[in-house]
Amino acid sequence: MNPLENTQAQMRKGVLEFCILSIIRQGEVYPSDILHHLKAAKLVVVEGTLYPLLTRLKNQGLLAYTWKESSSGPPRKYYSLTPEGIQFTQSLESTWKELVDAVTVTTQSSSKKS
Amino acid sequence: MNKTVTVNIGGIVFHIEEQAYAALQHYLESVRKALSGHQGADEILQDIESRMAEMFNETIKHERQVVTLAEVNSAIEVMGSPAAVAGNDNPSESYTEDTNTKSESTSAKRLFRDPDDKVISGVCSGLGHYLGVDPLWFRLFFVTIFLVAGSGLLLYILLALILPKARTTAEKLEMKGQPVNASTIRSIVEEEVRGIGEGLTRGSGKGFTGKISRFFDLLAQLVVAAAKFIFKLVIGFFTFILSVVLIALFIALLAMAGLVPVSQVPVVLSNLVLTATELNVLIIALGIVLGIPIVLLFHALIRRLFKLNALPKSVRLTALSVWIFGVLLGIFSGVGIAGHFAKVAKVTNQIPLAQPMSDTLNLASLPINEESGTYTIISEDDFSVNEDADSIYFGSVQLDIRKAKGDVFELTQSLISRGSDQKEASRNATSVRHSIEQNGDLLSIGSAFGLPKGTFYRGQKIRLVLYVPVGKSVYLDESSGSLIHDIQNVSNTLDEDMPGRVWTMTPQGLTCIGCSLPEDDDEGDPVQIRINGVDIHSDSIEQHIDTLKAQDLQINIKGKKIDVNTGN
Repeated sequence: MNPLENTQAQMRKGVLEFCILSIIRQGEVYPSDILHHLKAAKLVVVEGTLYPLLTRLKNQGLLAYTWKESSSGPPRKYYSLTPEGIQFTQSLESTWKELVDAVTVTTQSSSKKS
Repeated sequence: MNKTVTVNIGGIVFHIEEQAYAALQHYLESVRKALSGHQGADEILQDIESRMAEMFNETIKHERQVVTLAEVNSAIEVMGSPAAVAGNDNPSESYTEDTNTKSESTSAKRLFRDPDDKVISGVCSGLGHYLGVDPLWFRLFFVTIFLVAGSGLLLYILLALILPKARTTAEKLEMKGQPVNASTIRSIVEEEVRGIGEGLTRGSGKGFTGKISRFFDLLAQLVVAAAKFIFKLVIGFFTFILSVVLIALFIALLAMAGLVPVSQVPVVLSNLVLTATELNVLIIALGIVLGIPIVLLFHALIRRLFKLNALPKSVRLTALSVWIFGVLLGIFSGVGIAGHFAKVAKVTNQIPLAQPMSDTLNLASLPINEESGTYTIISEDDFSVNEDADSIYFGSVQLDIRKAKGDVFELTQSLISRGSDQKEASRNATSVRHSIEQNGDLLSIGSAFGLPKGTFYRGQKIRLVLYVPVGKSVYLDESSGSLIHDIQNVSNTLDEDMPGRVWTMTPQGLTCIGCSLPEDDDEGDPVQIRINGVDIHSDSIEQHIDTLKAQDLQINIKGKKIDVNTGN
């Protein structure tokens, strides 16, 4: 992996958790729904990475899931945010906004100089 | 045309090609390995499995359609490589997917048994990894102390039982002291996958160690079927017996600590009966046969106390095969030792005797010459050994007195011994030191014989026969009591009553003329006889006399003796 790819991957990973929590906040979803969103946003390349992340968030108490019947197969896990998860996501959101501002200010000021 | 199997993936039934099934199974196994150490690894794996099932379900239009390798491969591609699933793609990154301890870089080494590079159980290679030394040195070390002392085997067994086996990739990395992260895990997993692909798993099949390893595997397989039952029986038996024996032994040891120098027993064995090698082998065999059940027993106890898992099957099989090896070793060395006693030889010498001036020969027992240094007598009731002794004395000397054919006193000495062959047996027989001295009318015979140091005890004994001509006598000195054995005489006097008297040979046999010999006051059991269908008891014989007379029988009762004469 070359340095560029490495940095890009790190950037994506940094925001992945926030993105997943945000998707779940919009309503109960099951992993494939999350994957559709993430794939559309090109945040996730392979699906396998999602499951360890979901399990960890669940173990941290930010997520909960319920089993729901599906028309096309066995029951599926539907994830939703716990109250802690909602709070956590809100804090992340404000952090993200600060970060966007910070990045914008930094990049604009440096581009002006050059 | 391809063979298919029916499998349940994530709760849905699929028909899947065998090849595709193998690929899927291998992928999931690799993911499991890569995830080892993750919290909730099982759950993640389940999620992945269900998701793959969903993907297959989406691609398959018809219920009877078969999942092929192409579908499996595309599902794997969507899921990502095991290393990607496990989280980190780059070891230099500081980001860790999981904050749990295991995936953090630890370079502290841990001591494991290495299942990939094992000869017996991987103890030596594990030690090698831990100390950064070629495991060969540990193998040499264990073989050496096994041969020299035997205790090495016990040490090895203990280590094999105590050290955990490195099962997961993470543990294998810890064993080698490498940091545990995705890239190292991936490299190990890939190495293993390559190994499978080339058709050889590491550690089995390559070179010398592989052969030995296979040999032990085979050995274990061979013995397990026959021995399983015995093993259970023995363990059950030992659990019970050992607890009893151990307590008894402990008490006995305490009681005897001040009285019996226990350390002398091996000295006796090693100097007298066994060579040092035989003794060592025997001790090793004994150590294995007793030690393994004891170790297992303690393990079972500890397991009870701390609720540990049962020993892995491989360990139990190893313990079992070592135990059987110990039993066989014991049997073989026992047979080998018994071989030293296989043949008997008898060397008979005529001892020249000066005929006594009078008609009576005085027979005495010769005390062991105390000037010849320290000595020890071993007989039935005296068993002790002095390490400084230059000879060890045995009391197995027996003298018989018989009627001479001619008119002179004669003495024969038969040296009897056992040995692995006739030649060795007679050599063993003639190696004894036994003294016979004559001084005028006094014949003194050693009541014990010595085995010089360096001579092995092979059941040596000495049988002497004194031939007394008719009309001549022997005076048995009081000291000769330890010498004489089962001498036939007219009055049926017991050996213990014979010394201290003059015994004369008559044509009937040996008699004590004019002696008031102690009566055989043996009360004995009441006699019961049956005559013509009538039971007669010696206590109530008078009652029956009339009956018996009527049947032409004459019965005289003298004291306790009954003479019965038929009428005709």
